[in-house]
Amino acid sequence: MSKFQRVFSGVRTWVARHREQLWAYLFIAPGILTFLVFNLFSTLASVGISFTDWRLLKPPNFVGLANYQRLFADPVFSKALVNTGIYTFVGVPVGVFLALLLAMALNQQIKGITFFRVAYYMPVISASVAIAMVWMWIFSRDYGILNYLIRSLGGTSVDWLNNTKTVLLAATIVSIWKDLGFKVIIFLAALQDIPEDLMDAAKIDGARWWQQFTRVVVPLISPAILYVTITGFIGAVQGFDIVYNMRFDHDGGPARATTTLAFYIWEMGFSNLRMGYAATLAIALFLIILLITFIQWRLRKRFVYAEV
Amino acid sequence: MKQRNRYILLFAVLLALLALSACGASPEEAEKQEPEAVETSADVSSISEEIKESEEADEGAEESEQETEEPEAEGSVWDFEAEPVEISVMSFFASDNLEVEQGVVDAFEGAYPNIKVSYENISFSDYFTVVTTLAAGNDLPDVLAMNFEEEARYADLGVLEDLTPFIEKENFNLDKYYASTVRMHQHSGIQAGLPATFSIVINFYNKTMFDEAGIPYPTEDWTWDDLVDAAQKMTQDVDGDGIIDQFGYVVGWWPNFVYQNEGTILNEEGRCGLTSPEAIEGLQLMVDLTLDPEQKIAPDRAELSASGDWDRFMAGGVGILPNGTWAITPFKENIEDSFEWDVMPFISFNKQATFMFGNAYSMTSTSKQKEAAWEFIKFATGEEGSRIRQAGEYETSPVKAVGAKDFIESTNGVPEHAEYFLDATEYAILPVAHPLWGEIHGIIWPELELALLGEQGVEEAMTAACDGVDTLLEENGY
Repeated sequence: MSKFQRVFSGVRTWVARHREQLWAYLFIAPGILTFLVFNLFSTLASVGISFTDWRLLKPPNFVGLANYQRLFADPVFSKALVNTGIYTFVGVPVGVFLALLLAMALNQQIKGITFFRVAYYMPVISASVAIAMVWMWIFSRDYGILNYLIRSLGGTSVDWLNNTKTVLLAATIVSIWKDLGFKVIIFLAALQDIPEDLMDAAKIDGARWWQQFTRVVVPLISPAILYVTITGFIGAVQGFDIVYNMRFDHDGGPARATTTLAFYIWEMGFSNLRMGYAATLAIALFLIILLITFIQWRLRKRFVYAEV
Repeated sequence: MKQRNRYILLFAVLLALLALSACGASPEEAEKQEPEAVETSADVSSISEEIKESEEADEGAEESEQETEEPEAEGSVWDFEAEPVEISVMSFFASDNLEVEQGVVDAFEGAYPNIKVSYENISFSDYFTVVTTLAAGNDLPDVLAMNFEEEARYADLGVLEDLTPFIEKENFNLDKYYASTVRMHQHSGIQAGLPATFSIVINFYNKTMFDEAGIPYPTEDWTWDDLVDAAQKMTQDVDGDGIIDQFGYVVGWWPNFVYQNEGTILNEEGRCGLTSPEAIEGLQLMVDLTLDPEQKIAPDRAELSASGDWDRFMAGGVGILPNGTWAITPFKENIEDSFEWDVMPFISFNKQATFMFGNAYSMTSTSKQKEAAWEFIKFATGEEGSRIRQAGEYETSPVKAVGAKDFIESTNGVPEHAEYFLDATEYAILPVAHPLWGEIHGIIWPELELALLGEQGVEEAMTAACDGVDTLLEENGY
């Protein structure tokens, strides 16, 4: 046996022994490679870019922590932080609550239930631009249906989209509406997973509707609640498309009232060509998401029932 | 045996995957790596050497010689006998009618058979995203269409080649362009492009609405008071539902209100000048025309967000609209016969000042075929290229011989007084073209918007804006 043959047969035995693993790696290769190239590499690159003054059109210079210092002195960043906070901490809890109510309503055996289930999912798969356009009409000061309702109830028109105090609320409402269907589907699946006998047992034991809900339903779907809340938070903190499209000028206005963190990153990077600072903002956003997810993950031990 | 084959296959697939992910070259890149392309780039250096040699041999004589042979190539030093080269050109001109700029490219290829142009047109809304991405990937074309505001930034960042040496080398005559259009493309001490089009803002007006309100058509002698009187008569709640649905006027771009009152955005020291009494007074008028019930002749921010100024004008809801040359074609197509319209001079409340905008063809500093790129720029901005573009009704030609005559002809009598656009070159001014203009505007506008919404006073707004702008300028060493 020559040396080559020995090595070759060695490889062959190794391959034979790890056959199944190799097949597994082959099948996950496309996913992993895409992840490595487009996610992991880009993420690591942004860390590097955040220490430079890269303006896209010129080679970058290393500037140390200057971008991070700027972060703390930047009034627009703090404004964006507050806006993102309102957008998220109002939008997500309200969205989760409404979705749960709707899911329970849609879990009934009534006629045409499929139609309603589809209807609530439509916004999720609709283009944000189209959704924003429709809602801009709804919110319009003079011609909007919302103000028409307000006026017919004796109120005065609110200039939803141009008032710095209402525009973010309007955007939050749209984002809740858009994502509702996704949350409802998850809850619906969880609700349908609840064994009938548990509910029957609760009824026989004399549990009222409210008790059934808090003692049986909520604990059993708590993993779904956790999942929907975490993904909801991550999605809302990254909120961009609705605020971008609900302004004709795409300016995050009026007067920065709809400038979210994600919007500010876009503006810095692609409008102002300050990639270094944009990367710094992105890392700040990443840390915020990490923190929120970490807190929620820790809280799951207290509130989430029986992880499978 | 069968199994081993399978592993060989598996290995091959993995390798192919790796190759795909590692060098995800775009088709264009792949093309460039082909041997023929390498040969052409080698040819360029020999061509430029040849040009140098021939220049040394017979300076001056060549120019006249070529003019007789190739009348299209005016003042050209291009060697028509040389091996073909390829240049890439990217443009946003006339994106809604692709044949227009393609016609310019075809004409160039006809006149210069040994320069092949790989041409791409991208709509303006995506154009600078694409260009920036290409610049970041060091893959810019040889020639870029530029609007003068972005040009300022690109020139500052060193992306654009200074055309002065090319102009001087062959004594290229810049007098054929309107001088202001040439000046418009000088940034950061370089001639960053040659003018391809320009446009000017004057007033469009709805003749039918004037008739209905019983107001005689505006004349060249109109003053600001005449305009306000007419606009007040036209500002009405026509259907009586309590909402004003017809406006006499629309406030245009905010810097206009500053310059009309002899204010400046950036003062002589290069700092924010918006806190000056002139600037504040001008902007206060802008606010009053939309918000003060006594003076209201124009839609406010909310009314404009319900329906924009273009839509309102095209729907017959605006009497007088300040807007640019670019609006002529869309207005013709959308208004059709629903009402009569024309243009009138821009009317200012203090100093006659309107804005001139413009586009250029620029050469990228990374271009490997600068001589050929220069020939393209000269041709596409010159008389012949300009004439094709003008016939396609894309803005106004900065070439005097074309702009003055063909522009008026291309409008076919609508608007009737198209010459007012050309007259406005006399009093038009260039907007600020600072490399940081986008960011400067991003600081001023939110503050001004609060004033336009009535949420803060103009002076307060401008004080806050100037603080931000001055900090930005200082931090960036301006």
